[in-house]
Amino acid sequence: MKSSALLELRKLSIGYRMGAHRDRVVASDLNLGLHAGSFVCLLGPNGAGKSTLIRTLTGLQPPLEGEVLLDGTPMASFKPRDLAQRMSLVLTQRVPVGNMPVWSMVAMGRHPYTGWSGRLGTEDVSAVEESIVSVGLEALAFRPVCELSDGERQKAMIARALAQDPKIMILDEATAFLDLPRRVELMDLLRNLARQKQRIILLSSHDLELSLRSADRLWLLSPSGQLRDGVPEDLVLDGGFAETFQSCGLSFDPQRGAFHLDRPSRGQVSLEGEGVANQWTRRALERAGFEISEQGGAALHIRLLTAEGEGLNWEIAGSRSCSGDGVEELLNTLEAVHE
Amino acid sequence: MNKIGLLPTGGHPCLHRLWGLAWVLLPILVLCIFALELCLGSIFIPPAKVFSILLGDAQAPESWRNIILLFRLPRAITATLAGAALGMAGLQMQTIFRNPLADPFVLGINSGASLGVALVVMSAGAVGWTASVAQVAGAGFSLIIASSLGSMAVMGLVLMVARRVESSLTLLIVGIMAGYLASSLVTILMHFSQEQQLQRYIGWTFGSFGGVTWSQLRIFAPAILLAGMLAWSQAKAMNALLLGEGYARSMGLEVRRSRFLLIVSASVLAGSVTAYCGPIGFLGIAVPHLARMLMRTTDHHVLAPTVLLMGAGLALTADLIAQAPGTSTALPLNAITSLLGAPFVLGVVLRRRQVLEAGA
Repeated sequence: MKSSALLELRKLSIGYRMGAHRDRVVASDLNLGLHAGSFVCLLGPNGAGKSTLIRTLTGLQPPLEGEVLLDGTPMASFKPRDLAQRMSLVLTQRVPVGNMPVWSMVAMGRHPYTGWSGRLGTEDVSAVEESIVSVGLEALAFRPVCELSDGERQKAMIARALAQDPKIMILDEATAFLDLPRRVELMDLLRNLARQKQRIILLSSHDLELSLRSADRLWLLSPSGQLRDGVPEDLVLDGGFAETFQSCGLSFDPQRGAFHLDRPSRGQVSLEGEGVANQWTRRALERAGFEISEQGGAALHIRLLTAEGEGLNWEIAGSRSCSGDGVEELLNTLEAVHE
Repeated sequence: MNKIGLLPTGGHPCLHRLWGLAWVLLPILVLCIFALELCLGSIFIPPAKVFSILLGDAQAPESWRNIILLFRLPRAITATLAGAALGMAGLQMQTIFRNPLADPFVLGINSGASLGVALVVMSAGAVGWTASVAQVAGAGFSLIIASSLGSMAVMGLVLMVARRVESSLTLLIVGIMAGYLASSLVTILMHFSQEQQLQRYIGWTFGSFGGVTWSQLRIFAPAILLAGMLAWSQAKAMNALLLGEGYARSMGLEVRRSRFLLIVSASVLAGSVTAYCGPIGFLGIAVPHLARMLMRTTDHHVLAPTVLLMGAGLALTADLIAQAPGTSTALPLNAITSLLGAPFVLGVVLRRRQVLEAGA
């Protein structure tokens, strides 16, 4: 299986050529292979070189050393048109295209297939329509792109990239400006698109928690120039995830798959209660700087008495017992007790 | 797979009807204005007479035949070609730079031409060689040569840069700076020149379609036709460039090569018009916008022929009005194009805000 990688990085070194003998190396000796049918998220802290890697993979920037292989062939040996038939791109920035309808925008993706006149054949037309349908924009096909919402617009750009019928689709922070539901929807769409047509879809993203949940694989690029590749859960369990994003004041909690700020502890409390109420109260307590002891036996014991969807009732047992409603009151009480 | 249901060219059926109608009406309209241009002027010549003179009627009055064949016909042909050229060059520049305010002269071609002309006009007499050039080639022709050399110098500089840099923005800055340099040199020349020379230079900046003779058309027309065809052949590339250089490259466009061809053709179009007719403003920036609004598309396969036709029609109309038919006076062409065109375009644009976003 290893030999049949669709995308392969071989001893790749990326960065900028500043002068004849002065290179600014961002990351070096990257060796990776990716198989068809996977949705991969590229994550890394700001400045680690995600953009440089993306630019190198898409051929916008030559590698300093090594090569990128596409289906076993070095990428540099493809003509622009041949490369465009294998790889397509979605970028972050909004493109001002005025009153161009979605259909025409998606049809631009057929550019590497059409002749001099740009005329679409029946095959091109069905590729365009299939792309529009697969991102779910058929109802908006004739709407001008400038009238779409940001989410719809990005879907149209994805449809355009799909119309290129690529084996590899690369998205550079393509979900950056969308709200959470839109991002979840888009990630789900991308994963399905990768599976259905046996494509590789590579998304560079800042959205760690969502990527952990949605991606088939993660590429973690650390500031030291190391690129880790693996299934998200493996990377969490072996500590790679925490190490990549290690920085002062922030630590990764493998229990919940999220980051939290390190604060000085204001004392231990124990929490008793179930379900959602427990989860959100826990958050509030942690934010206020309390450590939650899992074993119990802390100086303060908080018991949650609540039914789903009816707000929170709580009582504190211990040296000073009291009770009340709502998280805000709980926090205020704890504050007072702590004084 | 469900079918969305449309024509294989990808447009909405309604649009195709609109385009079909436009392809019939626009040429007819241009022909009508062309005919009017032949009939109207300081004196009126009836259409029937014009027609028979064009067909070689020897019985028509000698003066009418001279007016039609030596003055109005070359003038109308010049206006047609120049208008089409400016429209196309404007479209190209707006697309390359994705900027709705770009015009054919955004890369400084006009300023280069002005410098060339200013050098010839204002240093005449002071420098021996220009005088001798003027004697050999005729005064009108020396301006054309000077103007062409000036535009070519700027174009050469811009193209040299274009082959090296990736970013169109850098290119734009180079062009604008070259323009400033040329303009400042022109100002210095003006400062030291005599009133008569100044007047001649300013007369050139008014612009006119009337100064082009048949023999000059023999160079002007092929230059415009060739460059126009080269520009039209890049319609597909221009479509890709609408999405920006990153996307264009990812769709397999050789961006530098296409941009080079586009700049060469646009420069030849704009430079030739300036050389033969003076710096004609406004048409180049307005025609592409009007074409986009009329055809309701950003597809350059549709826009290219539209700007050619609309540019020709508008240039003919402006020239017609500038001649103030029925009177013996004539207004500066440049004033007319902007004076009548600007409020019109302003009105249309303000009513349809989204077009401003079009950029290209």
